[in-house]
Amino acid sequence: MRSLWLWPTINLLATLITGVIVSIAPATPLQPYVVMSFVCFCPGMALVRFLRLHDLAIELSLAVALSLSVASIAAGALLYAKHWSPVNTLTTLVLLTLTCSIAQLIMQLPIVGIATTQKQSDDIAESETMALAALKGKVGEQQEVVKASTPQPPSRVRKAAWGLEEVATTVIPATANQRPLQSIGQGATSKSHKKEIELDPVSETGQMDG
Amino acid sequence: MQSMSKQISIAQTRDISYAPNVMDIICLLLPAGTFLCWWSTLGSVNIAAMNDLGLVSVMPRLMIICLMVMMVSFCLTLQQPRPRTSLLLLHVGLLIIMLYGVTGLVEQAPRFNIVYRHNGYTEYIMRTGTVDPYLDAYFNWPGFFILTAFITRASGLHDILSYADLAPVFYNLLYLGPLYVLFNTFTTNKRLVWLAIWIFFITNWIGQDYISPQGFFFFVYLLIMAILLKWFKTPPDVVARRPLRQHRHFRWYFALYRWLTAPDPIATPLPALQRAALLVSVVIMMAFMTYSHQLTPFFLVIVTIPLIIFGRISRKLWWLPCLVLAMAFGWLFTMAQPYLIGHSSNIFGGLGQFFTSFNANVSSRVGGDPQHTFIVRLRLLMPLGLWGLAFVGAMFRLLKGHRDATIVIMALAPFPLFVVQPYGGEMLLRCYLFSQPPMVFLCASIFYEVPSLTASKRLRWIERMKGPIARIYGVQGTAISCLLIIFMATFLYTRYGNELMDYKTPDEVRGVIHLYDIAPPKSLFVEAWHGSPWQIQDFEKFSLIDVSVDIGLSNAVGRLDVNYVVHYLWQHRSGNVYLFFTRTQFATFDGTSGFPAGGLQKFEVAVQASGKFNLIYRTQDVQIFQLISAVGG
Repeated sequence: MRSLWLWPTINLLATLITGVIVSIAPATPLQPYVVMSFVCFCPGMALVRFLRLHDLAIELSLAVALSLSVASIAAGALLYAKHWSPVNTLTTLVLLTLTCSIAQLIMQLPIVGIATTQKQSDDIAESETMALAALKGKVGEQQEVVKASTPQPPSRVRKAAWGLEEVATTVIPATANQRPLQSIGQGATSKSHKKEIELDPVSETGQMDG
Repeated sequence: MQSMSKQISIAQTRDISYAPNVMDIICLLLPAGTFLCWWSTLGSVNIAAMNDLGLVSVMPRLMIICLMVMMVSFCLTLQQPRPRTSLLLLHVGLLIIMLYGVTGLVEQAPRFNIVYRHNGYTEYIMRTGTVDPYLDAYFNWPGFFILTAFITRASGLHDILSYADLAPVFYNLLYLGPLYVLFNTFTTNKRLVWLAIWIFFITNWIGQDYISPQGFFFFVYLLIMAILLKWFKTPPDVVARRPLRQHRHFRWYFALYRWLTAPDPIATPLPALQRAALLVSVVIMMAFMTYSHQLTPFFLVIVTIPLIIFGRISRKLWWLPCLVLAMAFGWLFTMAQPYLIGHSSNIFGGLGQFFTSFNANVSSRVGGDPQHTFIVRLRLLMPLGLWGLAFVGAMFRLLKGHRDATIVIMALAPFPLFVVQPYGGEMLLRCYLFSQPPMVFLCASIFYEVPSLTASKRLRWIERMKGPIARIYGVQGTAISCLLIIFMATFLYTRYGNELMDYKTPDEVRGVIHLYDIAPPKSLFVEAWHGSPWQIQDFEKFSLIDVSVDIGLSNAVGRLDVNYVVHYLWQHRSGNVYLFFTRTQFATFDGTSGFPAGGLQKFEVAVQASGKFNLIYRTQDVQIFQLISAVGG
């Protein structure tokens, strides 16, 4: 729940601070830090939050890439239209971020009724798990071992954030007719390998603290 | 360490608490203390005393020891029964600052002459609010410079030089996220993921991470690949298309085809709407890439096409590389037409000229003084070593039954571009860079994917060799540490081996700016040798000659023939003529020209003694001469 409010609020505050610094108190020593942080991060994060990826590494990276892409495309469009104006470009980014952040905050309100609560997020994740259940028939023993060795993390959101959420990722060994290079690797997923998984769950499943 | 981890049963794993133990505290304090110690040594780096071996020649011994301790500390953290993500992240963050931030901390001006030229492009856009494709090739793909111009102006800064020093650290921190996601699509073993990330950062010596389009778009490339491989893999239940009828003479072909099309075991589902939204994001990033950098879209295409053909990525995405190609060629034939008209032979003439590419990328770089030659040879050997280890790692994974077609395709696909286009002698470096993530992953696999060879009778000869190998792996952590220390030691030479030529002094920068301030428009600037921080401003107002790229002029400098140079300049002048010497030029001349060291200093003395030039500016690192207008007549 907290994370659903967190980023829109941060974006909103960052946008307001940037607006104040640029319009009311320009040429202060703070301006480069504030504007660069805003341009490099906020517009992208405002867009990325709509994707609900539940993967902090990708979300942060995508936020930076999208922010700079949108900034460059907006600035380039003005330049090629012979209306080069950093102020107008910045205003565009501020408006974009404001709109997206406010929309996200509105979507959190219970009255709007959009699936955004923690419980509903969990339901989404659960439905993904159920969708995987069909695949699980093919997963076999190795997958069972992977799942069994997965301790329940203290915070599901936190684990998912670093891509450590096992629910969203599944390991599916190839079936017999899909196994490649059979002439060399007949039974290449050897018994000793499987045994190693059982003995060393940390190594194979990569379980780590968040 | 490994045996300790093996003792943890599944039941025990469930009961492990998240409370930090003594080793966690050690793994926190060790890197933090090492970093502080490293920080304290920064003040004792005397850049002025550097020799042709580069930054390592002036690094205090303690600074190098700190870097080695970081390697050991990382291994210690990695080999814990439950390595903590936060501690590994701390290690990587500190390593990035120590490796990529060091030059910004010990040098007073941004390194690389190209950074100053990028400042010139940015300054032009800020000043005129336009781009002129006829002025320079870079203005045909101006997206990145439009961005820097916008950020600089919106931030209230004067130029990009005030934040250019931060670019290497910023870019490498950016690479971390996509790399983490990308490696997680290859394996579920988090140790392997973090080791691969670590090896990436200690082998990324290419130096494309200065403030440049290619540095940023390498990040975008990694991000797009991470997104495609995490959420757009072919579902495992989709059966690969069967090849033509099997024939016993082509068994290898069918085995290869099965390997290439084997389903990927790690899949992450995502609802259709989110997938569509992600693709929109990818297209936005591709659009930015297309109008900002001429090369990266082609790397993206050449890697994604085989991944789609062999079903590593969903075949429904066939339109994605087509769209990139359409955008790239669409831009080339419309907005970049001025470049295309003058350079079509450069773009398409390289097709099939393998030996030209090899000569431009490899042979021509091995030259100059012995220390520089040593650095160049090391730069050639390091990729070979990494690729060799990656090959061993790939074999290990193959013998363990992994079907790594995705990784192998990503590792090998960039190299055909080297054959078709030398790219000014830089293509091999770019190929190394784009193939590096899968290569380092395979390299790291050596330690975590030791094969069991008893299954195959044909491979018993390898089994016989397992004895000594097994003894080494008994001390896995030590083996990893040793490899990391070797990589680290090599990195210091390969990354900063040319630092004598790459670093710039504030005196140099001031001198060049002074030249731009005093020279009237349409003057001719003559760089006595390659390497100075010029083209820093007023890009369109002056003509430029780099002596080192003209064979006649460079030979004249070598034989101290001032008259030849004067005659040449007089023929090409359009206004005042300024010949200038800088510290970097002297270093570059001694390191790479092939002429005896000190030749450029002698030429400068000859210029001064010739009576055909007036010395108008002299500081410790810069000398500016103006050609006397009467001598030409």
